[in-house]
Amino acid sequence: MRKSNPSKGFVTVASKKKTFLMGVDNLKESILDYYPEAKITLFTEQRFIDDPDCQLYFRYFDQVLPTPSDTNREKMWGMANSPYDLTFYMDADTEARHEDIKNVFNHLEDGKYDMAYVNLTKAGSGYFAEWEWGPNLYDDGWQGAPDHLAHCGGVALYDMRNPLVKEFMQDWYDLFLLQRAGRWSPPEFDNIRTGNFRQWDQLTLWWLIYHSPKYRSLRWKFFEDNYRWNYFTSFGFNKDGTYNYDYVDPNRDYGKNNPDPVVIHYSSWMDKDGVKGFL
Amino acid sequence: MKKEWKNPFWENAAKDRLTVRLNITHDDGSFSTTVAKVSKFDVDGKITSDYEEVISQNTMEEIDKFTEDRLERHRQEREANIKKQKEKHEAKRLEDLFNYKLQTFEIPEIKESTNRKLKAKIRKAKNVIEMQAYATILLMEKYNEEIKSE
Repeated sequence: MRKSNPSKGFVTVASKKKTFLMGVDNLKESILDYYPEAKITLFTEQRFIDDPDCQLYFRYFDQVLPTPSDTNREKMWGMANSPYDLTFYMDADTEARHEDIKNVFNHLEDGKYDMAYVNLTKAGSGYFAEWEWGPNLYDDGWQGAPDHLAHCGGVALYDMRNPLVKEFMQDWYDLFLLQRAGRWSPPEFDNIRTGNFRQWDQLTLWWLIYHSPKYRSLRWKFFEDNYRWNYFTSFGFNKDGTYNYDYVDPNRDYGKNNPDPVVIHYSSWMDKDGVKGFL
Repeated sequence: MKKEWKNPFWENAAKDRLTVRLNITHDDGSFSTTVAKVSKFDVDGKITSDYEEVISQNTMEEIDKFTEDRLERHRQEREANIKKQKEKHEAKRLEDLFNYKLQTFEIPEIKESTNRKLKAKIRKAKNVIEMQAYATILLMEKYNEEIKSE
């Protein structure tokens, strides 16, 4: 039986480098710009939590909690340990840009869905490092498991009232670390004969969603106004204030409602090693 | 030997020079393909045999259509490239702006400030000038506070 009045909040994660704390600080403030009462939890390394120089980054967070390790994929651990029933996870290099951020939790439709993701489309695939390895494409009338990374891990909305969701996120974390270390390779991976997909946590997500018997009962969906919830800067911005949804997601109608992106993802030219700063 | 002249298009407005794909099936069954330039006239002003072959396999209307389709395709490609470059430029500008904003928030007086209204203005600034203007206002506010307290 699910709680009828679920708690709602945002989760973000910063590990490895202080520069990511700059990112999550900005992300948190951007959410609060539009949603002052928002609850936001940060997961970061204990050494940052203890560092006096980092304390200003932590202001206005609801909670600042330690991650168990310092990998660059502590995000899934943070996702699994969200203190909120309904959780919207956001990457450190995203920013809220629209008041609809307040309504994000409605997209789970009062318990109808356990998870909601942004769909990485065929038309947008040119903007991603790697995307597909076979002919069975979601946008071409996909059947069974698509031969590509259909789900974006940059943002994720989910309902922790279903205990399977927490296990799903924890398995995502545990299995990805094993996958990256070459210690976990389910038979479905053998179909992937191109590219370097095993470095991506989205491949783990693909397997959990489409191939794991344990999670077959989870109900997931893509956001109807898909890329509004994760508009990559590489998709382009037009001088007249419009966006390029028609190019990157032609099968969805963005004209029905306000098309302005809710979440911008500054990922294209990011220098995650910090040589040039955050970007 | 069998020669097939495929997809010819006019090289010039005078319509006396063509570019065309030439597929050749040789007597031994092997196949070769090449892009050929075909002139209508030879040096003596006579119509060339290659040209006559092309015309026998493709109507004038078809050649005109191939030419128009190719021009249109190239025009669209040019426009798409220009658009892509503009988008890339604008996206890069916004990524840089984002980076500048994060650096601005690292200025100690701004980092420590609790004036979230002005900080939001910095965050939402559409260009570097606007960002700097709000950052300056915030720094002035801190400066004035310091002067008052002295």
